[in-house]
Amino acid sequence: MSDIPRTKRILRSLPSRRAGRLIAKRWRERLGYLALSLFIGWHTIAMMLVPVPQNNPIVRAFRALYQPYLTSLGLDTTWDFFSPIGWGHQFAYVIEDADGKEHAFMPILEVNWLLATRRWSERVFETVMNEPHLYGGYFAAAYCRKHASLKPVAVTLLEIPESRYWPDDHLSGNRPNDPAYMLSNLAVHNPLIRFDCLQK
Amino acid sequence: MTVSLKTIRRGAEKRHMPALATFARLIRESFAALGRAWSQLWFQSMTTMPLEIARMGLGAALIVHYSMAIPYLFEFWSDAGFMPLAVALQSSEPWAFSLFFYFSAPWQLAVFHALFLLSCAAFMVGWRTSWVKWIVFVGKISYEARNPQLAYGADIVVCSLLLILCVSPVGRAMSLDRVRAVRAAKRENLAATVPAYSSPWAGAGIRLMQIQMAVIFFYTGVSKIKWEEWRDGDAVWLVFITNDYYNSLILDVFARQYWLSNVVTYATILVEVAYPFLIWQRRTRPYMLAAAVALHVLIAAFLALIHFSFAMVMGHMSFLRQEWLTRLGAWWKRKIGNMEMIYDGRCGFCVRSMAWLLAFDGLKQISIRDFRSNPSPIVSKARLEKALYLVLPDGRALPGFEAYRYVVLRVPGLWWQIPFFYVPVFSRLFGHPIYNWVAANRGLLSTAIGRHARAVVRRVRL
Repeated sequence: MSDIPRTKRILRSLPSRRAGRLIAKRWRERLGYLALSLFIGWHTIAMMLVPVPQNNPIVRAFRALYQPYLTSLGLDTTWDFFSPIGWGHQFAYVIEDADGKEHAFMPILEVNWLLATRRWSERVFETVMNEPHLYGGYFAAAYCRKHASLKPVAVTLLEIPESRYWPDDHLSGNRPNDPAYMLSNLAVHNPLIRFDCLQK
Repeated sequence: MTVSLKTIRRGAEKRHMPALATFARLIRESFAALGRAWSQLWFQSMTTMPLEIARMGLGAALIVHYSMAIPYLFEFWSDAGFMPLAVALQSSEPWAFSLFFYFSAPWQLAVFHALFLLSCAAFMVGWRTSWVKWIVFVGKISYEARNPQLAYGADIVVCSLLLILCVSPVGRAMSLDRVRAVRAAKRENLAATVPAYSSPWAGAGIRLMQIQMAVIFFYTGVSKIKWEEWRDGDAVWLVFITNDYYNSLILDVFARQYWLSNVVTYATILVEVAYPFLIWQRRTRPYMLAAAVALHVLIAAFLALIHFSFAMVMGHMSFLRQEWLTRLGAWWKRKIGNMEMIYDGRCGFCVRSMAWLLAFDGLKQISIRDFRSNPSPIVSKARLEKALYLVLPDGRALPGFEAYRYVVLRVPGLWWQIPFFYVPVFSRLFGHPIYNWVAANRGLLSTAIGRHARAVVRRVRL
């Protein structure tokens, strides 16, 4: 106690100082409440309006304001899971060996259905199918290396369209989207792009 | 009689005053009512339990998810992979942010990945949660932005929930942070208790997560209604015939009983559209919650969207009522019964060990007795000199290792130790001798710990 200067001691004992501290605490709480309220208001609007289609100027104006927030924090989405179901495509490739023989592969079949890698693989193959010229080279080179034992000459990347079929077709044994069936019928599909393995 | 202008003005003011005052009071009261409604909606004082469940679940999901990414680390997120930085920057949104835009060397990616996985583990167990949560969130958005082609619904769900957890006061319950706080108090006095954390801030976090989940279900339900395949009841069949979700067993069942596929399709829409409206009501909440969780369990089981379903279920946990959790805790406590641990209060090491053990006992299932000051009527002093004892409700007394083994299975906070105590043969083979050695040398250990503690205090003073 004796270490503290006298003036400080007096100041500390003053009731006004204590009151000041109380007021400061109250204001801190109020500011905290205000800041949290502002964030809550802002974020709730973001959550509710992000998925709204941008068909009118009001939504577009909102988008312009919120876009940096949504993009930088990874919140930009429409939450439209499985709508629409759409027409699927499967990715495959054909390795052409030195004897001119063709070996077909559907890489998704090598990925465990239950693991996270399955979802990544689906996304990766979709990316390759969407932009084969941009991403195809990397995968073609990888497949040439992977099947080096076949002495590959070229690799052709394929996109196999899936078909819609109904219970009657299924009961009559028709399974066009069955991976095994797809793999055995690759010849009917048009290639996306062809890469020469020897040049890689 | 003459009336001055001043008097007339004063009279007019007097006449207007009540009207003005009433108007001002009305405005003030309206604002006050709005403020009260706002506070009631957002700032109800609550414990963080629902958020903590979501924290632990999301932390575990992220560890599993990104551990699986280790073999593909450079293929997915480095310049050596299919998405070089230049391509990523070209295809990303203008405001996209990723740490990997700035740290692109493979060793930096590997170091960050290790740090990220450790942070996920710390986030899951609630160690230094107040800053670890931010590393997890920044890491998550960094992976998404560096290779946006990999992201799918689950990633955005996780990002949305993580952001809410970041702005909420998580780590105050069911966490190592809480254990450390309780342990610190118990080190001073074993009987000390630390009140459970509850605050309006936690209430705001829970409400944000609830609204987030309601918004997700609302939009996903409404967007389905737009499409013919959902309206016609064919959507579920069409999902299962796509190669990504191809399931011949389910297709066989649906092909024979197509009405089942229709029912599942319509039930999905019904749950998703009803959820945002009925989840708020007291009576309907349990049913909506059960329906939503069941929907995600089915999605996980039949579409293998396990990560997505688990993240969604963690989000739904925000709707768990406080009283349900309290009732569940009380039921568990009743089922197990009281357990009394008898320890040596003169042994510093024993007291410290008790402080650790009790810090994990969030439900306060274990009562304690120091046999030096309060002798036990069940276990003799001679036996207690040799080992710690646990007295069960039926009067049985378990010594040393067996006491710990019994407690570990029955105290939820200690479940993480089950693998150590319940490995067949090995746990007992090594557990007994280790415990007996520690018990026999507890005086020595107490002295060593005391000396170490004094040295630390001296170092701090210096």
